[in-house]
Amino acid sequence: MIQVIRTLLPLVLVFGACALAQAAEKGKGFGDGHDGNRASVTHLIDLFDDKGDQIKSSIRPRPISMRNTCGKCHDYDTMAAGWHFHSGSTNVLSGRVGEPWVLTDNRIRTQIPISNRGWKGTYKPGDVDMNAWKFLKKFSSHFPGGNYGEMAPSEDEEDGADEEEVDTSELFRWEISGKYEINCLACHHADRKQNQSDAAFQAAKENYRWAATVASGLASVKGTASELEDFYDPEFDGHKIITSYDKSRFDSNDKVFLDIVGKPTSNRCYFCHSTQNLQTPGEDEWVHNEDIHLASGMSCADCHRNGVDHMISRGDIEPSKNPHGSADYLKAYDPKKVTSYSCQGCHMGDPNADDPAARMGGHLGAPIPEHKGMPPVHFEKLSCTACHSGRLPTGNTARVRTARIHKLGLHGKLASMQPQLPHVVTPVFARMANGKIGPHNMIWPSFWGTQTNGVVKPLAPNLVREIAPDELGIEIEAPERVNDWIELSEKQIGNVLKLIGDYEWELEEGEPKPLPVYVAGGLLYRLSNGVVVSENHDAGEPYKWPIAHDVRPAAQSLGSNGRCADCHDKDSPFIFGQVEVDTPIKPAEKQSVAMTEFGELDRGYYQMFAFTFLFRPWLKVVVILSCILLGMVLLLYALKGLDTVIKAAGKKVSSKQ
Amino acid sequence: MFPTISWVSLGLVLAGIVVHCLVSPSRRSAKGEAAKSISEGDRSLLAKLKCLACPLALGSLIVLFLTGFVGRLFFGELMTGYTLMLHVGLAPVFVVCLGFIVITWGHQCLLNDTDRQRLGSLLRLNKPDSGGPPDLGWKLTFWLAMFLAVPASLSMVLGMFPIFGTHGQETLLCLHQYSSLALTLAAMIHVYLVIRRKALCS
Repeated sequence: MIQVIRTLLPLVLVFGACALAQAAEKGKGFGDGHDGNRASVTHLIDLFDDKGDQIKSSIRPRPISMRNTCGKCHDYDTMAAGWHFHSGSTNVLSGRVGEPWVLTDNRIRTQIPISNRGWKGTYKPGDVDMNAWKFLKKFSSHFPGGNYGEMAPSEDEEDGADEEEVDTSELFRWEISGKYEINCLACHHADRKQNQSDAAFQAAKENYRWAATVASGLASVKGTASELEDFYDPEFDGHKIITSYDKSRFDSNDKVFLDIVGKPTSNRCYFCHSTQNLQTPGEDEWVHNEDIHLASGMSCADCHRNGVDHMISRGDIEPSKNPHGSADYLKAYDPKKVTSYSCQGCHMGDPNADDPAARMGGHLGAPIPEHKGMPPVHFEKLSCTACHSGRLPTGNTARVRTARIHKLGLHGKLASMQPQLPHVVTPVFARMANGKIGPHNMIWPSFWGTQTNGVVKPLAPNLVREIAPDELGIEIEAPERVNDWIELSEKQIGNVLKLIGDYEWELEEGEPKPLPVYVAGGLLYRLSNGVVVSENHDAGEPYKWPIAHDVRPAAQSLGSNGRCADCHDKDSPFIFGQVEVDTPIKPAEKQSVAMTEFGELDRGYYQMFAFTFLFRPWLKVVVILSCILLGMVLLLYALKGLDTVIKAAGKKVSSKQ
Repeated sequence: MFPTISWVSLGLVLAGIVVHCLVSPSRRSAKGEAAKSISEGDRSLLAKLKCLACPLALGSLIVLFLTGFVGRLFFGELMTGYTLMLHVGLAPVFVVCLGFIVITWGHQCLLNDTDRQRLGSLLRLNKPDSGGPPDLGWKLTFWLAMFLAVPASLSMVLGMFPIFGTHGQETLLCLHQYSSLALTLAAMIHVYLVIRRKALCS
């Protein structure tokens, strides 16, 4: 009997533990979903640090851990799979092409679009020797947390990895800086004290663990992780990064009220998703208008909605690319739901929707457009955004700066960072993945790289700095700039290419030596018999991403009120505009490419088509006059015929009498 | 739907013409009678223009038909590109020709007593008197074609004004397609009957 008990007891204990774990797992995310009550939930909550301990104002506090605080009621891992947070994962979803991160280094004339989503024209962080730590160092100012922020190598990896693969000093730095967890408050904290610029400031100091806490306005932090020694240990060295909470925010039970909203305010979205029109920058910023939807009282989240999974709808009508056949992705991107919140879905209705109201359109009072005088063929060839979004096109493309690429919205010590490069040109009317033409923002990649078997890969900027510091004038304090670029001559290109060519590459057996190249302004430069030659190459193709905002009022849309000439004039910028080519080579010279190249349009045909519009008023007059004439003659003979019938009938009646 | 209706109606009309050509008696009337009734022997500028307008209208109608229908019937595509430009460019030529034709030919296409009697007989489903050349058919198709030209033309021109929204534009396009198809069918029958009459009377 005892033997039986001895055998069964461990099994019972194991099962019991499993059952408890499962029960705990079931409780996870109980704050998600909706019980139907539309009143907002008051978040008077306990705060927890990254060790899972409750934060109390009276005891030396640690920064808030979102995983442990928000994760008490919400399913953190499910949210981490959303668009904002999953780009670093190995099974990343590509989705529609979007704004990339741009790795810039002006001194070496480099600007490389970076994305782990495999978008054509972008390079993966790994291609430029960028691991999670380096990625954070470069892009953390406008980073929502999670993703690369939580990719510190685990101890197992640390032990098993090749020494060269894991930089041991980075491992120490991760320990000091902590993980940059998803900053839930960055979006959901409606308190006006929420300040993402503070998060950026903490991130610049490598205080990742503290970024969300400081940005929330709950605490201030003294100390800089990046200034601490690799072997800094707070247990032995004393706390050198001090978190001081605003004690007035804690109640008698050490609970804190956070003004949490399910639907983030647009102000929160703006921090990372602002676009500055450089037409009248700086002091004249006040002349610019907001997106017409926001001006009408809507918020970003009215259309860009999401469930617990945080797969925010992106305005797509067609299901986005799903390279991995992920069922979760398709579940999240149920076109019947998502389409209802696209331009077409809201304004015109989605005929395939299950909900009869969604079939009718007019969500949130969206006016149903009549598009008077607009032949329906336009809707087959153009996206809604082509006529309604972005800057009104002019003869030459303009420039904008975006929050993420140009680090806009930073205040205090970081405010001096006002990069102009990379130049983002807009609007470029290019063909989109769905075959329609729409407005895009665009950058011209520029980088030093290598070509192996025709494939071009960029070199990590640090390596280029190491190979050719003098030739690229890295040490010069204030180099002369032309059109924001430090000019690069062909001679310099040749010299740097030679230096890269001489570099001792670690090659595997049989692997060909990579050829040094430089990509800029759409061209690939390489050495041929010691002379620099340039040629068109796919690697030089500009990277462009479709834009949908700001949406202009209907009256300011292209073709509004039957103005065909907006696009079908012989000088129409929509078709015949010029797209700026941005390059450090001869930057003072104005270089451009015809807009038709990007729209894949036959320039000759559209010129002829525009020419026919000169005669369109005549055509209308001639046809209408001819129709009036035809109508009158027909009426005349019809009356004559009627006259004959009446006379005949009259004769018949009189003859019978 | 439209391609099917087009194929069926074009097929029926062509088949009808062929059958009519084979079955219908080909008695010749007095030489020159028909020619006289259709074309006076006038050599004035007006007469020359009158003679020019018919082939010009017919030629432009053929091109309009080919540009408008071939892509749609064979490839299921709406007109685009150079085809559309040619179609729109020729449309006013066709309409102007029709205006000229209706003025210069209208009087000759009036129904006379014989035609009215024939029409009356047909409406009463009686066999018409077979004496004399059969003029009723080409006259009726003439007026029908002229009538259909109005919606066919206006439906496109009105679409160029900011009057009709998307739904209206689609309705106009639909109207243009169907009235053009009917116009083409009427013109085919008209041309066949005129040629046949000329052949019979020569």
